[in-house]
Amino acid sequence: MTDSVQRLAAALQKLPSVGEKSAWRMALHLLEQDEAISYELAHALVAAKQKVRRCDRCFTWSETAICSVCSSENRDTTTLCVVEKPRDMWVLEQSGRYRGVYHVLGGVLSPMNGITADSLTLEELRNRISSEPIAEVIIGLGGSNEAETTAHYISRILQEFPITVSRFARGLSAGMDLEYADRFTLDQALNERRVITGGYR
Amino acid sequence: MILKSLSLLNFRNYLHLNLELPEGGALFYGVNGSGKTNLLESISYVLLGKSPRGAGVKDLVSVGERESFVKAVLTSGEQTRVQSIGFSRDKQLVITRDGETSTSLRALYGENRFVWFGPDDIQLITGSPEEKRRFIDITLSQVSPEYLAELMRYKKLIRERNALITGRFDSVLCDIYDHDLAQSMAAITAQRAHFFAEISSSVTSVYNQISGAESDVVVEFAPSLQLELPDEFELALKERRNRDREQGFTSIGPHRDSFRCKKDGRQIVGYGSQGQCRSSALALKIASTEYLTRDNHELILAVDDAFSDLDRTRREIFFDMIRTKGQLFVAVHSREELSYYDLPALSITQGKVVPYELG
Ligand SMILES: Nc1ncnc2c1ncn2[C@@H]1O[C@H](COP(=O)(O)OP(=O)(O)O)[C@@H](O)[C@H]1O
Ligand SMILES: [Mg+2]
Ligand SMILES: [Zn+2]
Repeated sequence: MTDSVQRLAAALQKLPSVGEKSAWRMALHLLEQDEAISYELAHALVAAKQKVRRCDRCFTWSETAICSVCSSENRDTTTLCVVEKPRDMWVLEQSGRYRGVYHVLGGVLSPMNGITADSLTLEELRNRISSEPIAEVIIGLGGSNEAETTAHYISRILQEFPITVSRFARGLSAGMDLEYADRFTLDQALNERRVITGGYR
Repeated sequence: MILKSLSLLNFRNYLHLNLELPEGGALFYGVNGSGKTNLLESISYVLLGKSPRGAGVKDLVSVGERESFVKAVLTSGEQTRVQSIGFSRDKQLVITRDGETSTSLRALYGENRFVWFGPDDIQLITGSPEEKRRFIDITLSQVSPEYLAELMRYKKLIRERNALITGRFDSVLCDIYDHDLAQSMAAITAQRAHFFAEISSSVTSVYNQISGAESDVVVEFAPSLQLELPDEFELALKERRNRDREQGFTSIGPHRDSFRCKKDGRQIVGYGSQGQCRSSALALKIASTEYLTRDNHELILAVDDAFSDLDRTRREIFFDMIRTKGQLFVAVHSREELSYYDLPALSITQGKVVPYELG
């Protein structure tokens, strides 16, 4: 094999769930296709990487400084849902039931994996609660041990604010990732959320 | 459940093996190095996902191969279950149970009861606390999958807490870990204490049967923390926090539990003879078989050179004690030994197993 094909296959293999075999299949497939297809792929990749950034407010992926949810006039800005990653926010958006705003944490606490409080957007969350009219924070994390710990942590550090903090109901079974929850489960998680600390603004 | 058949693919020196097993068990007869221990080890692996010799997957996969597979067909009355474990050198693991797949060893636990007798059993008396805990955990995990789940949760929490106290410290997070750990510690400690309470009288009586005398041999649980309530454990953790931070690890809790065997009020290790150490180790193991079968589950037993240093009379006493406990597999390397044990024999030569023919 030529060096270039080898390089391409090696690059493709860095993608999630792409093993050596599929990487080679993709590389050889691209070679056999029209040049236009390769250009399109390359351009789309670079454009996405250059244009997409974090929303300044909620930290989801966005092409503008403030994302479309944060800048929408039709959202309930008194309710904020904390999620682990942009994928989770999109899943909730697709369910169409949630009308509040979001905050993307960027992970869940796990010191042994190097994820401590300051590597998440927790300070930013506190700043938002201080400056925005938020009355309820819903912790929309999954059911893994780390997510449980993170949920406790958030409720602890938000105690100083006069707001309600609630959690998704147990519909999300232990260990489950939001990404894989079906629509019914999500609805239930949201509707039957339970209050951890009460408070009002 | 008992083993009806066993299939191996690239496991140690077995490249390909399909073996039907007699209901009552069998003797595996062969010269040294033929694969007797390997075969018993494969049984342990498919039932518990563990090698009794503490071997890792790299040792288990046949030389020159990448992946291994062990499958067991198990029966109990009318019920049949097919269980398999596949693993590769790069540590991928797939478990199937009646067609359902999983990547967690926990999927193996629930219905099977297995016990291993081997030359290393003496470590239950003379070995490190870690080896002693392995015995407690492997026994309790089989009887209570909840125990296993709690133990896994606990070990993970300890790793998180240790990483936290050695890295950038965060007292809010440490409070949360201490609180969750305390719940876990209370649950694990209670189950372990209960286990020792259950087996202690049978350890004494089995020991006396072996030694043919009345003695006061007892086994005593030696927990790291002699506490009961989660709140007490939480307080203990908080009190230790500063010292733990200096030392860089969590210094108290079930991950530091142990147990002791005593005779005449003194620890057998250091005080008793080699033979007394052997006998009390075996007494513990035999007492654990009673614990494993207390909910009427059938037991599978593997005996690998566990009795070879005993005289003929002692061997026969042991054989009589475990013969009725379940399906029994014994590795045998001399023809003389074949006659001690009243079980059908299978002859093993370099990765092949055939019925043993006299002559
Ligand atoms: N991963 C492996 N691949 C191939 N052969 C192995 C592997 N591990 C051990 N063996 C072989 O297995 C044999 C030892 O088998 P063992 O079951 O310990 O014998 P014994 O019958 O004495 O109990 C040795 O010949 C050794 O070379
Ligand atoms: Mg052997
Ligand atoms: Zn936004």
